[in-house]
Amino acid sequence: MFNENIDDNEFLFRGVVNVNWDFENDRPSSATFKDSFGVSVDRDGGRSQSECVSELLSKKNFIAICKVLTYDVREIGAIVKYLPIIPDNVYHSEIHDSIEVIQLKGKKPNKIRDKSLTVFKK
Amino acid sequence: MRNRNIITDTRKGYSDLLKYAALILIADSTSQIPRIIEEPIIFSYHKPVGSQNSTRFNDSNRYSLEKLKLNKQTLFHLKNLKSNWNGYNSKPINEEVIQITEDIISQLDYQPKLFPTGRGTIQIEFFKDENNLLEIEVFEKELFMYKIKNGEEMERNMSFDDLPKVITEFHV
Repeated sequence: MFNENIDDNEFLFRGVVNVNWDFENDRPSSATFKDSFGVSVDRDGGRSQSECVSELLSKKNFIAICKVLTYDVREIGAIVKYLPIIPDNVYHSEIHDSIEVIQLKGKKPNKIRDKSLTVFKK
Repeated sequence: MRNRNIITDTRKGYSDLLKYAALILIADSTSQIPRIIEEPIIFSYHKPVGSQNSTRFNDSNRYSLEKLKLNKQTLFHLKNLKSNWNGYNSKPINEEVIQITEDIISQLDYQPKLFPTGRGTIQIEFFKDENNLLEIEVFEKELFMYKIKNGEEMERNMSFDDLPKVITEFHV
């Protein structure tokens, strides 16, 4: 359905829950980008920003939605993989630390947070 | 009248002498044991935070029992997070991790911010500015640190014994 290789110009969207929101600095904590497996994101796949946001909000009552450019993720040395969940989420993708390591630790989650933009906030 | 004036003058001179002696005694005590004069008499331990006379309690983030209480409430709340609490198949927060984090924050001068991660760990976070931050991820059996101090980055595993030193160095 989509190109296996996600283009550098595609945005990756991630929902943020209340407990991961840094209210003092009004941004997600970098803990948002720490997962057991890869960090799940939805590639835009040619959709508009509002479509991406609406679809995420239909799944969970996120406090915020942020987006990060695929180029920026690659720039810090992380990997972006297109891993669709058929039929639930054809846009599903994951950010991995590297080819060998899946979990993001230390500086990479922090850098991804710094590069991300909040596009929806309650 | 004249005699009375002389007596009055003499008394006044005696009173001045006593005041002068008292000043010498205070000055002498101050030079030998300054804390006794300085703290119980001049200052109170219960001065409001940020008092102009206090240098010890002028940082509202330090020794904040209120913030410690809030962090303990946060940890209590994290105990109740079920699987998939973040909408991305996250794990519940490990109970051992919660206990370790509680032990850590109970001994800190400065209270951090606490955030759960999708892998069941807790992130302890100190943030001054973009060039000075400290993130410690608490796993069940280890700690992982990411620090930026004056713009210089460092990340590594660390032991529980290293923790007080790392946090103290960050706040210096």
